[in-house]
Amino acid sequence: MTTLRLTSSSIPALGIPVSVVAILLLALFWFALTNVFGVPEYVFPSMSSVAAALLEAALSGRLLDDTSISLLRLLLGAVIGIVTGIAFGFLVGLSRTARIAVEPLINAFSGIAGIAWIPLALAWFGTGLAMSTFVIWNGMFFVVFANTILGVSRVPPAYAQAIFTLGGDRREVLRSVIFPGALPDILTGVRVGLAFAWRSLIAAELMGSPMGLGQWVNEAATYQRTDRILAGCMTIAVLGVLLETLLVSWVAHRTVVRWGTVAVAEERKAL
Amino acid sequence: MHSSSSIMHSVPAWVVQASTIVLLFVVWAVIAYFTKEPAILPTPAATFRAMANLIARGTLTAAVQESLRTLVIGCAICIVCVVPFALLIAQSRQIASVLQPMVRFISCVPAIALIPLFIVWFGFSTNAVYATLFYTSTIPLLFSVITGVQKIPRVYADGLRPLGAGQLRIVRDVYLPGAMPGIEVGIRLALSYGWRAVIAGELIIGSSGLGRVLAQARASNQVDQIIAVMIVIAVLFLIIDRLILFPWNQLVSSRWSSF
Repeated sequence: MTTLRLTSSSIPALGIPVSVVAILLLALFWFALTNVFGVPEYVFPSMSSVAAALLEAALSGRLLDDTSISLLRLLLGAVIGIVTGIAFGFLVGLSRTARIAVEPLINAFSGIAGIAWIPLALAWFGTGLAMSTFVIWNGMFFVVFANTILGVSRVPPAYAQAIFTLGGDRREVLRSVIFPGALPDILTGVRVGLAFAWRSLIAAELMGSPMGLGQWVNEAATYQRTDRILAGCMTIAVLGVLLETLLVSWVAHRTVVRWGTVAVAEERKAL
Repeated sequence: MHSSSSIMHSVPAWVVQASTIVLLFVVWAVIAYFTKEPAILPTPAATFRAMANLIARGTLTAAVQESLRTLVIGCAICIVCVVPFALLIAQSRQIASVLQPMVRFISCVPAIALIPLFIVWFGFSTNAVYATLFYTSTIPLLFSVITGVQKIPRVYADGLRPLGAGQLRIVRDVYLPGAMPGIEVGIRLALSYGWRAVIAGELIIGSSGLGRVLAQARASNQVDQIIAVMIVIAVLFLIIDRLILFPWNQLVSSRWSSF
């Protein structure tokens, strides 16, 4: 999973000045592209028209409706994905034979990216909530599952043996050794899974779900409204970053960092 | 724990793994047999018949060729453009430290959300798929190469300079071989992320390749064809990953990874 971390779309733990400089430079490039070099509005809209499109959507209530529908769909699928991923990950991770046995399954299913499942999901469930839930569950489950197995297998057996020696039973070991020990990896899985699931959801909405941010962008494309497409893309990007970095690092700070399972610096690198 | 480790001593790992795959197909066959709903879950036999039909009609082989061609050409363009650019950027720590967050900000926008924009730009054509692939593959490649260069100890370049080496010589003898592991990781990521981008792009744009076959099978509600194409996508991914990228990684890391 280290390869996934490498390209994570999270904002790195950089000093604020550098990111501010980067944002200002990007804005400057954008301004130069549309206002100085005169790239036409229908090819690449200017900042002001994207802002106007965003404002219009916000005032008409469309933005709030679509955002809340997308987030509700994500929440439903993600909760099921996380719970089943962790539960099955524990079942499999505790046995070496089971770990080796499921490896080809994980490889095969990670080869079929979440998006390739959408046609099957559409054929099975139509365009309703069941479809988006299945697609999001599918995007989350395998990553959380694989990372839970990894985390469980990395807990040093000596810790568990220490609890056994002190008279703890199997449940005690699971609760106070294996779960906290595996949580950093589980959180990585949740973060990567949320990124996958968010993309899959947008794709599912592009391909037919009524309402939602993906559908908003899709409708904008039908009318060739590039300003609305970019406004939608930026909303999707901001929500994606908020979900995968802030939410997960908030959970991490209240759990693994507080317990001392990972140091703050390491946590920054990992999440 | 004890019983499982004794099983591991007697049975090789690949037997366990092969039996998982067999078990998956057996479970699928049993469920399909008892639900008797071929429009929802066809049997494995029906799925492979659909696959054989698609191959016999030439649809599947042509689609595989189109998708692979898009992946290879797109990644080649991406590598030719991005690797020299990244090597250049990495020469200056300041430029790299400003450019990296800029690219990261842009990369927060998922490629899928940009596909409608690419469709407006290029129409429902393979060019829009290329744009999706290029956008997806550039980012991991750029970051891996810059990281690869920055990992090279400075003494190597500083040691050559007093001996009279010019900047070109240092790039050729220090940065290029030193960054090889980073370039290799970047190309591997570009290909494996690119493969997903190609499938997603073809599926939504519907221009060519395996994604279009998938979209057509969906439009005519032929679940057996949908699953057949999904199996082909997974198998191709495994072949690309295991038979090409993994051995290549071993080769590169044994040849160039000197520190």
